Amino acid sequence: MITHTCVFRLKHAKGSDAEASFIKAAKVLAKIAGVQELSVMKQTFAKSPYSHLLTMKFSNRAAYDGYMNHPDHVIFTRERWDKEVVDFMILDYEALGRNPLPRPRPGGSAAEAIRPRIPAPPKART
Amino acid sequence: MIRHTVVFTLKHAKGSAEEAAFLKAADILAKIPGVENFEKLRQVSPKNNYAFGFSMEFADQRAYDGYNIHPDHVAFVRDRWVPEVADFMEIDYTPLGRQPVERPRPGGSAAAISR
Repeated sequence: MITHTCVFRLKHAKGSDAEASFIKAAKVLAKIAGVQELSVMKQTFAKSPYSHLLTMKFSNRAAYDGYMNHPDHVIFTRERWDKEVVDFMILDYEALGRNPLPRPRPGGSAAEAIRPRIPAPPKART
Repeated sequence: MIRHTVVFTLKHAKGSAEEAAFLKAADILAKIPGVENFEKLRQVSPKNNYAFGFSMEFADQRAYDGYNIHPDHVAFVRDRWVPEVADFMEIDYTPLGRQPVERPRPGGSAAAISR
């Protein structure tokens, strides 16, 4: 299960018709095959720059990718999201304790991604 | 319902014993009164740098406030979160269509939310 979340801020005034129109349009994404439990929520943490959150679930990576490439999603992104959202961040979650779902990689095998992993050498992180 | 989430990266190396110890220590948060549906998550979008997330729900603002000031939460933040977390962002959300629970504000009035 993958939980896909987009936390965002609209250019529209709070409570405006334009805001309501955008939220209504976003809910149409729930009809795309593979999308589960879509909801638009109000972001309430005071120090966050974002006003809303769009969240949905997918049963696997193929469903996630199918949504991303679906014409209705592409059109929504182009016609509404890109024009009306001024700031956003995408956060996707899987339950901890499982390895990330394998993604198809050129020249790579999906099977190797789900084998128990040997810890990678520590990387310099700041 | 209020869902409280925090997405973060640790100072520890990926897959290290220190990382595992931090994530295990966070289990204490699930036992604090008022915390519901506590989840420990892996952040998997390559479009940001965060590695993990915690998510929990509270019935109302009172339960949320109780969590924030609970000694086990305060101790976790002081002894584990501050020393071991490199970067984080908090996001809280509630269903649309409900007014947020009003907090008392100095000089403010709850009437400000009525339109």
